[in-house]
Amino acid sequence: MKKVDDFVLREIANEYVLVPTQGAARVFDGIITFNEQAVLLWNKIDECEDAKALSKCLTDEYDVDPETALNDTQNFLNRLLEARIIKM
Amino acid sequence: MTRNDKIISAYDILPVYKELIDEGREVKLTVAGYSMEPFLKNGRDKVLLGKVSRPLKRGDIAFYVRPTGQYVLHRIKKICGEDCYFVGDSQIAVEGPIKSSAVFAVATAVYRKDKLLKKGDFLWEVFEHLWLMLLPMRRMIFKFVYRSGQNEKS
Repeated sequence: MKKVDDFVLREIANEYVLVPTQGAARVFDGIITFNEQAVLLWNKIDECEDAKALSKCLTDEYDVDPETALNDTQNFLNRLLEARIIKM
Repeated sequence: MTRNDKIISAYDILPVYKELIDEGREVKLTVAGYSMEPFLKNGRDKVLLGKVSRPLKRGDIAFYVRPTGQYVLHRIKKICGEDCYFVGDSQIAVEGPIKSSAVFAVATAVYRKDKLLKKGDFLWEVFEHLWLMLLPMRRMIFKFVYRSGQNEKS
């Protein structure tokens, strides 16, 4: 999995937001807000091969069972894929 | 894990956009305010902003910071040395002088009614040149347009 470089994560007024720039700015309207779990996943996306590996970040950091973590991670990745924010 | 119910104020987000532009990234901003009408409409149109990589010129849509810290998107009316004078497309009064170093981005393209317009496109050129040239006559034009609207209503 790989992030599209044109999306930049920034902290604004205690909110984490993903801002489209460059080519992404031309096709994507608005910004996306992330919660802390999403930020954790976002920062590890490039290092993990699949959703299962990525979901381990959640189970390592939070008191969550592996199945829930995997479901949440998969949903998160699906939304990013649909919006072309990451590539497989 | 993503949310769509948060409102982040321009006051908070614009410094971050400035930072990204300073890094050389192009960003898109939705127009907020009425001063660039009729070219750019509040909430409807969007502007692609890029770092100033060439000398500024009359007619450029410039994004700058006022000495008060307020971020403004207006058109350059004239440049005198290091000083810039600005006016919105719906305005009559010219603002300035403001140091050209206050300009940190220029519009590279706009999305007007979802249609991409850039340098060379007819409407872009009309507003960059003709509409700016008509600045001394804008008051009269606005009065005429207003009266025409009133007549149509009655």
